[in-house]
Amino acid sequence: VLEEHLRQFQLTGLIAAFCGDSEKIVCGMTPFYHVILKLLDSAPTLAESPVTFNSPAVYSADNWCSDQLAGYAGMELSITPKALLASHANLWSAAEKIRETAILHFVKCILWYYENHARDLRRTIKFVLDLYGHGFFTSQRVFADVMDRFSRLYASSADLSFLVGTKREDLPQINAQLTRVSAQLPELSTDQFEPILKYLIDFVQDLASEARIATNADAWLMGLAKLAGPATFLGINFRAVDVKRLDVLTRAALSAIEEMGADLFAVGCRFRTFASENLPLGWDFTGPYEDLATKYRATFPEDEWLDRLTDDRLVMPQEIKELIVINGWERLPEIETPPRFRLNTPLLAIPLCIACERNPPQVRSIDFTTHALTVAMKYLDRDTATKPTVSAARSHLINYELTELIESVTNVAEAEMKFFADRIAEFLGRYPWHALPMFLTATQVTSQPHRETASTALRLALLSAPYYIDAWRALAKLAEDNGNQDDAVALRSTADSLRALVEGRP
Amino acid sequence: LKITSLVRLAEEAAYAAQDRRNLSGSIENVGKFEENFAALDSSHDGIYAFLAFHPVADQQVLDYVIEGTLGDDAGPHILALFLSPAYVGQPREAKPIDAQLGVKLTGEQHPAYELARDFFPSNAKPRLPGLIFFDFLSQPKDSIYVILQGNDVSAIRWQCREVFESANKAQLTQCTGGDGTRWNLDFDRFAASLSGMSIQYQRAGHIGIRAAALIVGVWVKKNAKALVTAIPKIIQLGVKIKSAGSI
Repeated sequence: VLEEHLRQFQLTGLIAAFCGDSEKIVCGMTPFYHVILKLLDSAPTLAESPVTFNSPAVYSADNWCSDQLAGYAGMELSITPKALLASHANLWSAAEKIRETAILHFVKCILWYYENHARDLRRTIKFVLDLYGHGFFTSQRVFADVMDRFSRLYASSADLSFLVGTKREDLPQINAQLTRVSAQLPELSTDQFEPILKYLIDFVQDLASEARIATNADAWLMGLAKLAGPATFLGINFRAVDVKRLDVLTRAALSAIEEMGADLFAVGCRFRTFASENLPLGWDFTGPYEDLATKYRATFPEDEWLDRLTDDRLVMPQEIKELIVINGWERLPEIETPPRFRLNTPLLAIPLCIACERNPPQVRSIDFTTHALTVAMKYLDRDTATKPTVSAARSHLINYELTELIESVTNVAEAEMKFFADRIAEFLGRYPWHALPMFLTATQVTSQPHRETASTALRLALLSAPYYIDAWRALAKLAEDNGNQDDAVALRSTADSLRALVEGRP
Repeated sequence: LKITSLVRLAEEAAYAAQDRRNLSGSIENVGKFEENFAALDSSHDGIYAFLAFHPVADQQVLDYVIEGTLGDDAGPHILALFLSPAYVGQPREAKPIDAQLGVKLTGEQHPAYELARDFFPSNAKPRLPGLIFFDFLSQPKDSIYVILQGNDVSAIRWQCREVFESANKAQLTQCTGGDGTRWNLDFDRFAASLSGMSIQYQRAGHIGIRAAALIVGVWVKKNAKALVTAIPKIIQLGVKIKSAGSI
């Protein structure tokens, strides 16, 4: 649970940089941050043990327990979950309030990493991209500023060897020296910038290949999100550098990445607009690209246009392309996007909702029909004096459907399990991130053979609704039934402290 | 080894050379091969080398391509090309299948053989595998066919490296008008150094140097869609030996 929650935390930063509002993320993230802190307070052993999953990190003022300034947790750094959390939270907050300080902090850590890892530029750039991929930058602009500053310092004639072998206790000297060398940063020449550009291009091409083979909507979205920052940075530099000094392969690659960046920006905007207009969530890979596809069809031969479209533009995953190949473009309106591509799973509920200011239970899928909403509007119109709002009608409709669902599934006999599962699935089809049906699934299947299903359902419920006290309790009960007494105690204690938090008790 | 399609590279080179960006990107000015190839010629500071082989009969060359050093061996001034059966667009990692065009074709039917034929006297049997160097994609003026010999991958690797190294040494800087210069190959000097290393080559066959080059140009256009470029790996160009900025 902890690892999943930490991962959600990181993904929120990444999604915010892709399609969210970085200004609101710090505020939006606070409640979820507290959930993880409560979970850690309730499980002291876990809180004290170092993070074992691979994640990059840079030091921060709070909870940092390593003498190193930057590196990979689980490999190069021994840091606790709280240190990793603080590393994110402090930098997010700084990036909004004291941007220049945040940029300097990143640059310092990146230069330190470079000087202390044999001045391996490739490895260092991979580290920066990993920081981006793990949500350390909540805006592409901060990423671009950091890359720009790092590139200048890298290319300058400044002697940075004072960083070699330094530890955290040397920070005062490091800061003083860095301030001195940063004072006179030269303009970057294209020749000096070239190695950095080349490595970035190489990594961006690999990230694009990775995104293309995504097998579900989550992998696709994360693939695009990881690309957005570096592609935008390269796009800016396609204009800024003297491209004539670059070899033709680099020049062509930069030009293509600039185009890719424009597509990624459009996808990000689409997510943002859909969220602000409260439109259903989901991926429709064919509809929005019909015009583009028509252009490609007109330009290239029949056996080539689709390859070109999907390869030139990052608009659909390989699998969707194959569906079009099998069915033919003419039958496009009949082609249904497979469910795993239609919608992001609850594993991205927190990142997408916080970054785009959505409320998970209110999120509708593209299978939601407006007919039901119209009926609800009419119903409300009859009872109230003022004209009902769409939002009121939506709440009314969800409440009505929930009551009906609870009634229909309460006390179902074992024999009616199929009916129960169908009703839940039907509801989740319309409101995919509503935690209650997930919770209901779990509570109906607690007997031994289904414990894994129950545990998954509860964990997903907690990702859509982190303050769902009953779900924390149910998960504790499940741990107890499985004989994991320590986990049960920690989960129950988390539930208690969250309740206290909600009720405003200390 | 990363590869990219030659046609795609030429299109993007033409698009990058213009000041304007289009709503739908580079496809809005997909010109004719000739125009894009000319744009690639003027953006590329160097020449081209096509690795001609049959993927079954010349298994050792296929293995060399799969090893992944072709682009690095050629260096930044020589775009190394080979034929690929798969769709290759934007730069991506190559799979072994990407270098296996014409597995089912006999040696004589293979497009690589078709090109080799024009370099050999009419009474001699063309020999694969080979490396064909030429100076321009659109309207080449000079070309040379270097015969590769050796039954195993290490022999091919060694020979390709020797040949590329010698080509890189036989550089001829040409003025392109104004202050511009272009890296070109001094074909005569290159041929002389090949002779010095006892590496066999064919320059003109029965048709003359200029005509052979023209035929290369026609062949490239005909097979353009299947041609891919091996992208050199990034060597640590900018490694600071000391941290004092000396590169």
